[in-house]
Amino acid sequence: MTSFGTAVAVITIGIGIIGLILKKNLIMKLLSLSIINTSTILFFIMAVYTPGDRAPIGPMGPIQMADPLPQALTLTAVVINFGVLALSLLFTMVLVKRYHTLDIEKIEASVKREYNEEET
Amino acid sequence: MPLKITHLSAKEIYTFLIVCLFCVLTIAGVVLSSDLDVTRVGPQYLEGISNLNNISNSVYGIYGMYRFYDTLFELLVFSTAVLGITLFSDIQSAGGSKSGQLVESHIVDTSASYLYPIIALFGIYLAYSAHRGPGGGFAGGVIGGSGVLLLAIAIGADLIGERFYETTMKKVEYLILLIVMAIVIAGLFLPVAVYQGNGGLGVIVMVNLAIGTKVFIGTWTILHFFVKHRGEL
Amino acid sequence: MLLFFLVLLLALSIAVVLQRRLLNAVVLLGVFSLTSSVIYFLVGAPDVAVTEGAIGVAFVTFIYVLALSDQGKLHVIAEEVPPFFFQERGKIKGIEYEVLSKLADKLNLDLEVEFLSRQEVPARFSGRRGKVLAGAYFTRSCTDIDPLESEAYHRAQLARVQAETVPEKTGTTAGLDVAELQGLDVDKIEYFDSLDDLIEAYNQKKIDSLIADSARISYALKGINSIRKSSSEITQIGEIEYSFAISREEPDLLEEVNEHLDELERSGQLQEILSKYLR
Repeated sequence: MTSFGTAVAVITIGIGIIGLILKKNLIMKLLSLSIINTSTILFFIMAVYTPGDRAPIGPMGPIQMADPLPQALTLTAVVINFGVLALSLLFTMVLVKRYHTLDIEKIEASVKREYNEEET
Repeated sequence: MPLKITHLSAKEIYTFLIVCLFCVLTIAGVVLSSDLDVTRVGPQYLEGISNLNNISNSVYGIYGMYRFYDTLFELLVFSTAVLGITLFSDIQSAGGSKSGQLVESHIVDTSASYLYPIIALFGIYLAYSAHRGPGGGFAGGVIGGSGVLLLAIAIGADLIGERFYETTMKKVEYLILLIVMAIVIAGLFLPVAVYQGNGGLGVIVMVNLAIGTKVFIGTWTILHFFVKHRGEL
Repeated sequence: MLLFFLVLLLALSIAVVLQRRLLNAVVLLGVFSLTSSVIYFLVGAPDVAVTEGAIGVAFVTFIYVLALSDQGKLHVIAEEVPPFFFQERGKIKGIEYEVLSKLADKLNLDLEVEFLSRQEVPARFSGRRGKVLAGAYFTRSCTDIDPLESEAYHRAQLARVQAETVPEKTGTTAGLDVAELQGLDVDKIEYFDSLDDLIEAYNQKKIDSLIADSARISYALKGINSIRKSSSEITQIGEIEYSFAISREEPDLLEEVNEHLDELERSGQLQEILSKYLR
């Protein structure tokens, strides 16, 4: 089960990266980024999972317990992903307000045009 | 003899190559991770925590014992993101007049006003009792924030505390960051006993409550901005 | 159990990336987060599960939906011109309204109508908010916004209301700011922004003849006072075609409007709507 869990996490990371590269819509890019974030956390947690683990809460004894270290590592990452996501949505809003489109290629084209106009 | 690919543009070829590369990397990752042998957390970690006999949630035990600075800097990253949103919120004026409720319904209104205190209490409970059960500052702050989200949906965007937010919240936000920093930096000078044993419990609860408040205000700021600028994409 | 949720997670991630509609993708991402939260709970990580549940399901989805809340709407800016687009006892009616609401149903969008006067149109239409301009729009009638134009759905005449006492081609002629007016062979021409001003000027004998398209003329005739009306005659001076104007930033919408108009014409619904309002 561990290997299947990590395999799913790696495949979802791959899907997220492909979406990040191929999608031309800025919002779709952000959504793919969210997929990558979640899958990375999943990878951390699934990598140390063995079947029959219970939550690392309670007296520490002979009972089989999930590894608390990756949980401690990834817990803060969830909240930070949210903060970063909100910031990147804000920048998308700024871009949309200026260029009136979500298409990254159109934005690039108009940036290039503006730059050329400034040069001449 | 040069290879001729006439019906594909350079961009499409690059895209195809990148996709191929990532497929290969993904398969390699799957194959490699299938026989991944991760050693479980070292015994010294859990031994260190078991000294703190009041802490039964070992995730927060690890926080209290080993990851204070880490948490502080993660909190700094979150604060920076929120600071960026606050600054842009000042610069960018909201387009048009956007006030009023998102959902107009008496049932939602009434139930939200009764549910909000319960949700807020649950958030505080999660932040306070992280040493005993699941929860913690981050989860508690976020749950408290989702109570504000409920209010924003039900009662209206203006009523989630525009004036209160503008005057008080912005200042408290950074004050709390300072408090967390002070607690963490005090660890350099205070005797180790304060951070271990029963004394350590107090520190963990304090830090968790401070983190919870910080995250709560941060999520409130983000919600405030997005409710004010809704529909701009 | 765990296996099922892992497979579901994989399927959902593919579904998010393959979605074309943004709001659908956002909701699917919320379900993706919920599934991952369940997985964290099952593998013994309740702390992460609580945080991911609150953040991924509630906050991220809500923020995206707030930011994208205009994506599910079809914005229509309309001049109030009966019988094409008008309000009657708080209800919006008209030929164009029926055509557009059928389009909105087909595209799964909410129709949002904003009534504006002629002067306000250019400022509102240039931003992202105005996607379709309606209200008896005809080719080249708005020289200052340069929109994309859909196919015509109705032909009509450009007409002139003229006081009988004044011989043709003399006196002051007035009309709305229309490209067709510039080619006319008349002495003196004036441009008005609103139809009401035009009617009032005609009533007060400041202008001797009035030019507009047939929809506006029939509305104007109700406003012209009876003495002036009895001494007027109406002549046809040209042909125009009514269509929809679509913002230059929405070329996809233009195609969909054209397709929709074709479909309505083939099924005979367009004729039904037209005959219902134009008797």
